[in-house]
Amino acid sequence: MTNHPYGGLPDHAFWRRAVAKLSPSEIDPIAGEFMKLDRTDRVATAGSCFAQHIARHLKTSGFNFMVTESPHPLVPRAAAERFGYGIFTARYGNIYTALQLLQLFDRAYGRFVPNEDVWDGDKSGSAVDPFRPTIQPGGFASADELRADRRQHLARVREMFETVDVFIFTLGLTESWLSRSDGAALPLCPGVSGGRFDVDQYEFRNFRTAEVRSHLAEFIGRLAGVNPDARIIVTVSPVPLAATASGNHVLPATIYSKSVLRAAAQEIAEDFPHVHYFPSYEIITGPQSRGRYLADDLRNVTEEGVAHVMSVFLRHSAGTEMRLGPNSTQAGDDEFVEQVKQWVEAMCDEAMLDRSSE
Amino acid sequence: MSRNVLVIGQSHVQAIRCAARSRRETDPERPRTRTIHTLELQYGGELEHSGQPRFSVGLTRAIHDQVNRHQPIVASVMGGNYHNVLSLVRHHRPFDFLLSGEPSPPLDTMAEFVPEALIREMLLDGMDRDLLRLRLLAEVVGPFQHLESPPPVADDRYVAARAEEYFETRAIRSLGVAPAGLRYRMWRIHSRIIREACHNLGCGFIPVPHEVCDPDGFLRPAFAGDATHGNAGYGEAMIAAVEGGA
Repeated sequence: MTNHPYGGLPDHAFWRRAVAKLSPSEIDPIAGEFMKLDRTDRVATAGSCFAQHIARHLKTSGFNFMVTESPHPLVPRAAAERFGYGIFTARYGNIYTALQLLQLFDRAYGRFVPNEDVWDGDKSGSAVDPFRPTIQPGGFASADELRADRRQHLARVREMFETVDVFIFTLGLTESWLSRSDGAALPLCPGVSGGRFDVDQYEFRNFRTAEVRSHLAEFIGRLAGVNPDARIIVTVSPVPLAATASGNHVLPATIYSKSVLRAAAQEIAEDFPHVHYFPSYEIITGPQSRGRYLADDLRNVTEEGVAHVMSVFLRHSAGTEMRLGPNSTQAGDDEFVEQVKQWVEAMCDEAMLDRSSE
Repeated sequence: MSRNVLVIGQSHVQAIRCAARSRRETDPERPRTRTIHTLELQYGGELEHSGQPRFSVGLTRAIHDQVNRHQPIVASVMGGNYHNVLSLVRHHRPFDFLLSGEPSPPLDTMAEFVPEALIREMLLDGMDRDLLRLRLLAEVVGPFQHLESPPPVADDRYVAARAEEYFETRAIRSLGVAPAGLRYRMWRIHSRIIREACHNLGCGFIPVPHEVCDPDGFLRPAFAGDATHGNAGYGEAMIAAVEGGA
């Protein structure tokens, strides 16, 4: 028998043993050590639509899910959710790209003041925040109101960065629209939900791996500057692109985007010892799932898929087991799940790119 | 030409009632203003909740009786205090907001900022019953005139000294009175909600007459009955406003 490096490897190194032989719900793609979370660790989340699922499960799993920007207690719960409170740690809405995250940090600390300040809303006098275009249904009542709310929001963002123990960021997209004047990265193309598209003002960018890695590395450095003990978990959203402006077919555009994000996440986790990669992307989209974790639209992730992701996360980060499979949602919770589903879908504003065809 | 007036509501009826009594005593020949306080016991309850909500038989009969006998201008002071419930006492998490579309006192920049749209949601969350009352009244009498709730009194000490028992139970002594600017803005949003509801019902909305307000729009203490209600003088001004609008 020949002696070679594969001879003594554990089961998880072999596709047949670690994937093909197991049922989809048994797949646990973490090998080796993962970051340990204490129940007292303050955990913050940010990122794309899928990050909302992570936030929701952390809240219900006994973790110390940080909310630095909570609604005033007199605001009814349903209204608070519609206005983007509690979905993430602060009311920043979806952050799809690493550059957006970096610029959020810089905006919070006054290192970057984008030229793009206020967009006109639909109603006369109303205003839309270019960096949170769907956070305020109907828009802010005025530019002054928007700026007052933004000042408070960015203070809460600073609070998050300075006090978080574990920051979970879900990378969503490589495609982005930037302001030509100063490079400000916008979460949504102007004109989709507020703003007015002007090719002279905005440019399309499809970030490459090195750029995403650079944006993440810069953010990591900035975060360490205000909070040296903060640890970071990076994930990649398994949700495909709703639309692409790259000129490519949306399927290869999606695979490109996710591949870039996945590669950048890997490299960052290898470069920084306090950064870990969590494979939610693989759990949902890997061939072993046979598509069962995607809803009929092949974009939204089913509750079963989210439950699988979170069970792996909890097992490795907290040493706890979560029940899996179709019964993981208790009977009688249908209405709640439906509400949550609507809520999550409503906040996935990237889907608005395809609204005209629905 | 003056006409009889019928004012229907709850606690804000008292100011109208006092003014009407004073009118009756000084000029018995003058057209009368009468009131119905919907929570008074003689009507056997205000609402019946079996099936579709509606006014109780006793209350409906009393309203019809007044309308049939006196052909009055019907006015409403239904509800009209929920803004005070939320914001007369300083909240343990002080908040404030910018009022759109009209001037108001400066923002409290030390307080938590809340967008106006969410202030509206806060108010709407507790105004179901008041909005239902307006709808039911329109069903019973047709189009009516709603009288705007009195503005807040600016002076915190005045408010603290005359706060009703309800606010004593809300720890007004320890938390204090909310800043006048917030109380004013909450009143404005409350009025907007009621005005819109009246408009949607095809009813009128009579704003508070200028003469009862100070230059900043607050209620002059001379027209205040307590921390949240008008007095007889305020009631007289509102009756005159109804007559003037008829």
